[in-house]
Amino acid sequence: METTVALAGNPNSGKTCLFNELTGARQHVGNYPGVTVEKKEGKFTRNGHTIHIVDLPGTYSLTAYSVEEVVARDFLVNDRPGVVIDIVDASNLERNLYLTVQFLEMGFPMVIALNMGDVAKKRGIDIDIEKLSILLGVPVIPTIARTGNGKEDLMDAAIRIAQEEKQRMPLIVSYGDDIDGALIEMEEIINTNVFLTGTYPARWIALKYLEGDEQIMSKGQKRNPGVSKQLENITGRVSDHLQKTLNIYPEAIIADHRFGYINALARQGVITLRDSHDRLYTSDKIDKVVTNRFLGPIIMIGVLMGLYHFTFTYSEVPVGWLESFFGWLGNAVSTHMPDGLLRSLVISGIIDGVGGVLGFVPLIMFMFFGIALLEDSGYLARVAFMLDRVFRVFGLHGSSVMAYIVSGGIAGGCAVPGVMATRTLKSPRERLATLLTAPFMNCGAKLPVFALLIAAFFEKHEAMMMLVITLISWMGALLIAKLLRSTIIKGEAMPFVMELPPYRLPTFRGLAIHTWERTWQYIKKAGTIILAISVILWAMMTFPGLPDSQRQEFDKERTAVMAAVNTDTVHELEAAGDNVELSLGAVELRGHLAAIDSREADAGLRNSLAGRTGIALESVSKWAGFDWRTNIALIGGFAAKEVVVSTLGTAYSLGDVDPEESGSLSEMLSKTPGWSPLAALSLIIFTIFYAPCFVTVVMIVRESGSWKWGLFSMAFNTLVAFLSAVAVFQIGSVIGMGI
Amino acid sequence: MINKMQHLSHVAPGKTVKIISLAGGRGFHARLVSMGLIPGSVIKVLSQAMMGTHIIAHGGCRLAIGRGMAHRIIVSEQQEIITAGGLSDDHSQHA
Repeated sequence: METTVALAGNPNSGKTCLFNELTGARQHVGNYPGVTVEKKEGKFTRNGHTIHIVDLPGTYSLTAYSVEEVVARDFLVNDRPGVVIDIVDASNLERNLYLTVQFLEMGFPMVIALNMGDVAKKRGIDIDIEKLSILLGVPVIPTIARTGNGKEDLMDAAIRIAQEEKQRMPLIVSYGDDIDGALIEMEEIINTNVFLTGTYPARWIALKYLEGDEQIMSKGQKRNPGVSKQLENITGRVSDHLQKTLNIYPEAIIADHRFGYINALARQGVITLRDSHDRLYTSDKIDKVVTNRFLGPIIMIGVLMGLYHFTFTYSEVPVGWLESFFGWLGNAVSTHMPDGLLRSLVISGIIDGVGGVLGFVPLIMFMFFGIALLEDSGYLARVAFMLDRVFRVFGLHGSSVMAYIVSGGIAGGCAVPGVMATRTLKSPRERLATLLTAPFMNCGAKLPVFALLIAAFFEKHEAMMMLVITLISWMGALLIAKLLRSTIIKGEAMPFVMELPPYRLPTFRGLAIHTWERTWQYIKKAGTIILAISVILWAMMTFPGLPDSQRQEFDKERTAVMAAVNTDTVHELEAAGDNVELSLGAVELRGHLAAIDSREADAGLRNSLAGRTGIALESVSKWAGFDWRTNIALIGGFAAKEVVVSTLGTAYSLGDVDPEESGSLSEMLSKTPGWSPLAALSLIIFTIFYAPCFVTVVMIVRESGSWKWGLFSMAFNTLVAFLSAVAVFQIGSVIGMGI
Repeated sequence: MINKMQHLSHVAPGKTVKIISLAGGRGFHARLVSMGLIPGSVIKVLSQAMMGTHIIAHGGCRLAIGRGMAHRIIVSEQQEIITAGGLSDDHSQHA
């Protein structure tokens, strides 16, 4: 028999810790449908019972003001878990019980996990567990989530409650004469009309009307507008009365009485305080330094640079292993498979595609490990709070900085882990704005493009140009975030109040689980889609192939070149390995053949779907100073931004250009008519802002929960990029920069 | 024994104050209340960090509050010391 158990509780109550302890690595992470809220599920087996555990988002309350709260509430109501385990932080008992009381008012079968009793004890708080259990009427099991202490008892209690109780009587809290009177009146209307009572307890619906809960009210209006109107009238009457007499909203009185109820509970001997001195905890001492006006920012910059360094430097080695593995695989395939379309598909389409995806894996693992470390230790909350004022101006959140930096805020990151890093953001609008603008940062793959163009046209100002490029992308990202937040992702900024959890030493188990679950999710989901898109891009640059007549012509040329030299040279070249010294004649022959190959590649590219698109786009792209070759390169850049360089190489008849060593290509570009520093600048601007690579797009889709935003980022970013590039190119032309 | 009322944003670090009222909209109110900050709560301002953000202690809990928000919390100065568990004697007058 499988029982579903929902884990609920305040943020920082140890809920995630307990979830990890219960489920270990048997977790599944996804999103709640349609919203950017992470949904974690897992399994726990005990005495033959398999328990399906759902980790609800951490919330302080059950209002309709935050997505997390609505998600938690809807899950409990719609999925009807067998039991709700409410994790309560014993060292902050009163505040945590505020949520507990709201669960009890909804009448869910419940078990309380009283967590962190050890911390509470250290702070001089003694809790009478038995009394608390009797007064609330639910089992209370002490746990220490960090070590997993008490988890068996907790699950036993949960199984018992799930089997015994299907529905319990909702808790009734008295809210004072004004509210209670209205509640009784409203309950009667609700009950006689069977108004939403299949879903919620009558008194709870009435309470939500009084609290002005928009979600419940709109549900009510849909169900029965007449009844809803009646309830709204009573609410209006009570509200007016309270405004006149006490100058207060009904929900303020409701909240006050809930706390009053909790206080009364605490006074009945549940809480005993030993030494009640205003102690400065270790955590406060650390905060004195770490959030200091002057030291704080310096330490923060150090830590963020450290994270960046850690992610990109130490992942280099395993990334190298993967690269050489896929390189070897590609070579092995090319020697063992006959030349032809199938080989090209396997190498360029599949191996390069899959390799491209798996190549990111070490990077993602390192980044998530670093973030998990910052998050679990409690430092991330401090970063968010220190930067909030700056980011708030642009409609973002303090935590946005993380995603920006990982994406390449300090040039050389990667937008894929950057988009995933937005998970630390809890407010959905800010999160969406962040994940849509993070790809404007300069990831490591854009750098070869910049390096190429800077080397060709701005050689003397190399360092300056890199700084300018970095500033342009930050300014662009922040301004566009502001634009998005004041248009399509409009909505008031979440008022900034945030709990600063005490600093804790993260557990290795927790770090490992957080790192692995997110990495695996990336491999699994992205791998399938990315493979498909990679094959499509390959096909676009391959089909339709050159017509036979043209191909024969290139063959003829080759034969002619080979016939011109003596057969020994031909044999020497054919037999030669990679590192063999060749005779002069063979080197020359090889050069001739390579030139023919690259001309054939060029003709093939022109004829391919991507080539034709590039040529077709030229009429528009010329406004920004791009010719058809640049267009193809940019289209190829959608696969991965490094491809821009290698495709430009192909397009400029140089054959394969290694993105790391583009010296000859940059020379070539600087001499090609049509290119100028201005055209290069225009291309740099375009490269910063245009459509993210498809791996990033796939991640945007995953993280935002809809294809809409993935497609939006492709279209919108390209438009922004194009307009900026055109502006730069046209204004530059007028003032005479481009010659 | 009503002391001078002021905005939380103007309270100097180290001072202990009692929340008198929350002068904001319903969302603002709901959010603070859910975190345990209600009229009557006694809090201590621990520090004022970058750009006017306050760190306050409310019982065992530490909260960072933005300046805009702190400006809408009306408090009065207190002599009493907050207890470790965050229990203040002041809920009774509302309950």
